[in-house]
Amino acid sequence: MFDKVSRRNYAVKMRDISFGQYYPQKSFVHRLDARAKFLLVVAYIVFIFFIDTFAGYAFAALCLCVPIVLSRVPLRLILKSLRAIVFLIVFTMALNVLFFRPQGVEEPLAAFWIVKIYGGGLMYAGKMAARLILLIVGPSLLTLTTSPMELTNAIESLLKPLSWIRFPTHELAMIMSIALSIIPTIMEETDKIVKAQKARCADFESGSLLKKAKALVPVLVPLFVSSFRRADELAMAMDSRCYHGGKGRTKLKILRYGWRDLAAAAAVLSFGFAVLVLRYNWFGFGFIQWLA
Amino acid sequence: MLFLICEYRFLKAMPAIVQLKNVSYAYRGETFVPAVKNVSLEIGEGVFAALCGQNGSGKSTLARLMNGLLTPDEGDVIIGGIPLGDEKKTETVNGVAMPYDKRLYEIRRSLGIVFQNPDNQTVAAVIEDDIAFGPENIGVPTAEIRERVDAALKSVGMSEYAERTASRLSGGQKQRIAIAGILALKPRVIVLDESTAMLDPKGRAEVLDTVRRLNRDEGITIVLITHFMEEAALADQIYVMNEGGICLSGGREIFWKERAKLREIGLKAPPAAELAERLRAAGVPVPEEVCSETELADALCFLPCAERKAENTAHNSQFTIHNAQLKDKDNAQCNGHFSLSQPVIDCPAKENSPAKKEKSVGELSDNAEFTMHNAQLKDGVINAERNGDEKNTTETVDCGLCTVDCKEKSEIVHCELCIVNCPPVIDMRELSFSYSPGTAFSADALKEVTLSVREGDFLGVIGHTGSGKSTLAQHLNGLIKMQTPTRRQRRRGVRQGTLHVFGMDLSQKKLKPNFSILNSQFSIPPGKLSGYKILRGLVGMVFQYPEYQLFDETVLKDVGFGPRNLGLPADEIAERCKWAIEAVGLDYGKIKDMSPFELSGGQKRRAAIAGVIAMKPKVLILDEPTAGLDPKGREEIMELILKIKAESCPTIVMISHDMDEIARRCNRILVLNGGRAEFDLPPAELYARHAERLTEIGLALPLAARLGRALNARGFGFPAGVCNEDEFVREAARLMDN
Repeated sequence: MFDKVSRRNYAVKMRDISFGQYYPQKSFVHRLDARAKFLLVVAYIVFIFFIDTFAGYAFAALCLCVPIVLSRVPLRLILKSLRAIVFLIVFTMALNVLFFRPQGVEEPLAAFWIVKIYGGGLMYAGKMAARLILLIVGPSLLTLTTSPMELTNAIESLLKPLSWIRFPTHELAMIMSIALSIIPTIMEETDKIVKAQKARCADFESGSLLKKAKALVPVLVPLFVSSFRRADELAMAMDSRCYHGGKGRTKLKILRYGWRDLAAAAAVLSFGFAVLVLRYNWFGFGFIQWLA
Repeated sequence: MLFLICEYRFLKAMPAIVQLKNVSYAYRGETFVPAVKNVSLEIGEGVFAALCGQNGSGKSTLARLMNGLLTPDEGDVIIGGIPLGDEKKTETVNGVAMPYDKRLYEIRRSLGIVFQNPDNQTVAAVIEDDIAFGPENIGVPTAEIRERVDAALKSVGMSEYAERTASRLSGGQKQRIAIAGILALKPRVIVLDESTAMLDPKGRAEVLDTVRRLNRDEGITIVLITHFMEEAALADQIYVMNEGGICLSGGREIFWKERAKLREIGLKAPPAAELAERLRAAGVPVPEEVCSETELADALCFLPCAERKAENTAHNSQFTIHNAQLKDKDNAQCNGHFSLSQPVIDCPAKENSPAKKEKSVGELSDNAEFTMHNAQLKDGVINAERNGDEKNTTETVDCGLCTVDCKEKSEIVHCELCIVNCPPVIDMRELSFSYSPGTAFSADALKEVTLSVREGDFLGVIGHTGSGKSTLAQHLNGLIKMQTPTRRQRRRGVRQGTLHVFGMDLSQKKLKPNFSILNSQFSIPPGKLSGYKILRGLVGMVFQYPEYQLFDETVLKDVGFGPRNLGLPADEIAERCKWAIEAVGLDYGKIKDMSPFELSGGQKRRAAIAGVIAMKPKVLILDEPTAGLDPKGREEIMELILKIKAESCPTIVMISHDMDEIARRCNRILVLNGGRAEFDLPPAELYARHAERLTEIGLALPLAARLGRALNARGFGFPAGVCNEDEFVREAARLMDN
């Protein structure tokens, strides 16, 4: 467990980014307003759920290529975000294939023991996988092209209406922002404490679960103590830089919608429109469906 | 004329920018701890002031009182003419009614504090957002925030980092960012609350240069809180705090006029002044007013007899004439590079043509070798004297270590025989290591490092932050496992290194304990323990700021953590804990049942060290053991380390940025640069032969070596191998006598 932490820690150290998977670049997609990007990704996810044919998925994938190319993020990184869910995809596919029962009459393609594999099951599993992939790639493009800070600002801004019902939007955003900046430090600290205790022959790997949990005490106590100390010092540093809540605060970066956002919104909406056309056979264009 | 007088009078009438009037403050916890007692203080606009004192003398509390982070119990704080005053009252300042809130924010705007820990001051991950935090809070319009952020970044010389994140910066850069964050508020005073204490020498120099420039060019008043006296010596005005009160104040003269009092409260004069004092005691007539290195070098040069001596030597020795001539040309440059804030001497030869440089270096090293020889000879004599009736320990043939009894000697130069007879405790050959190998973020931390450490060695490891010191150290007790080079690395010519510690081969996945060592040095039944546990029991490691790893309910339990993990019987654990706690100089009866979190800073560090030596290691690795301590604390910890070496753990590996300590205590110095082991030599030899290269790498030389070089640069025949202060004093006295 800790080796993983430390390995990731070094990876983080080696990159110039603090957290998440942001890929700094100056592209059309990077320059979009974070709020717009966020909302458009939500819209995209909703539209994906309307698709139910392979042709539709192919169409969506084709459309998704446009922002990917525009973002100038290496394809490798996007595929990397898929790697995390390979297991999930395989698992869902397997379940679908194994437990698919046809509604009507369908001969199983193969059968052994109680397992029967139907053609319909394979189809369904394939669609499932396509949907999952599309659902992952879209949002990961968002996190790849938007820095955590921008994302925080976007969420703060989008939640602003909630402050009417006394929802602490500013505080929430502040907490997120501080968390983002302090996470690398805390990870480094964890790594250091683990090593210091290991140097005193602490054993984190062997023994029963209870023993392992107990072995964490010498790590968690110093970590808590130091986190509290850090929080205390940070609060003091903030205080001494005149922080007094969200009242009367101005901002360095004001989020503004621009022509890019308008263009992107138009593109996503037309994508959605096309999806709906395909799905509900509006204007009789549903003929493409039988391709699938 | 009249105008001038008027201005003068105006200046006189203008109130000091920082004014404390009879301020007292006490922390209210379970007990009532007075931290600041009746302090009155006035600092004029544009002044560079220093506030020093031991840890716990109330410096930080005073800083926090200055901008209303703490409200004084008694007295008043007036910053830039605005009194903090009562929380409920509205006060009229210059005819404007100001409620408490407004006064508080105005004070915080005009007096900013840079805190000690560079990691705990960033509010936002992206640097420009972080710097904008202050102006955002006080409602500066967006366009102006942008201007202020850019200006602030420019002032601290970090403009190109605006859109980067702070997490990868060095400590010094992080502190500069913190300074920029305060500059964006357009302050009139910046208080640095021990902001340099956690930095390496390079970072300290960066921060000091920045604040000095701000003081000089932008007229910002600086209050530098520090326990590095050489930093305090840069100030126009020095305040010394002790037990919550200001006990001394004045200019630099306090370093020589009030020396006794400084010492009484556990402080020292700057190192150069201390050395000057010792020189005076040895009969070298250095004037009292010497406070900095340049002054000391100047003073030594202008001593009449020394000068005569220099001429004599010049006539007598071919080498010295050469040396003097070569160096004379660069005299002016060399002097210029001598300042305290930048302890690194830039090699003046750099500006010369390469051919000439090579030539001069060659000749210099000739000279160095010559003097080296002298130094060694002399060393032999001295050691012989010191050891008295013991075996004669230096010269060439016998170092006195080849016998079984390799212990209890602090100054060792291993001889040929010794190397044959005593197998190394740590034997590292061509060890390489890189983080995240095979990925885009891969970074080489160690490159083919070869090192062998023998019993009795006191190895100093020096190098910049990120040069691989910690990675190297963590290999020694298996915290970092050895790497087999990837195919790509192999193609690049990276070879598989080897590492043996106490005869155990660390390249094996499952570490096999070396039983012969166990039987003789370890009282635990082997077999139960994994190889790594045994290794870590034998090679103890004290991390940087070890007090942060304390966790248990009582000091006793915490110290017993290591022995418990080694599976020792209960009575032996108890015995070892008692021994370890007493060995680090803590009062066993008094503190064994205290929580480690109740201890003072210095005590915590001792307790943490006790936790490591309770395992009775045979090699002790210390990573910056004196970091963040005040002068007295640093000295005490160094003494403690020497005591541990003499009594229980004969081999010490110490990573440190404190070159003076390293040069004084170690018998060998390993210099790491970018993961490569540049040198592994005894201090005298290292500083005699490779001073140029060290300077090139950007590593500071010890004070004595710097002075020696400065003197040589001015035409003295000062032996080049002199790198610790004792020797320096001795040599200087000898020069005087002749």
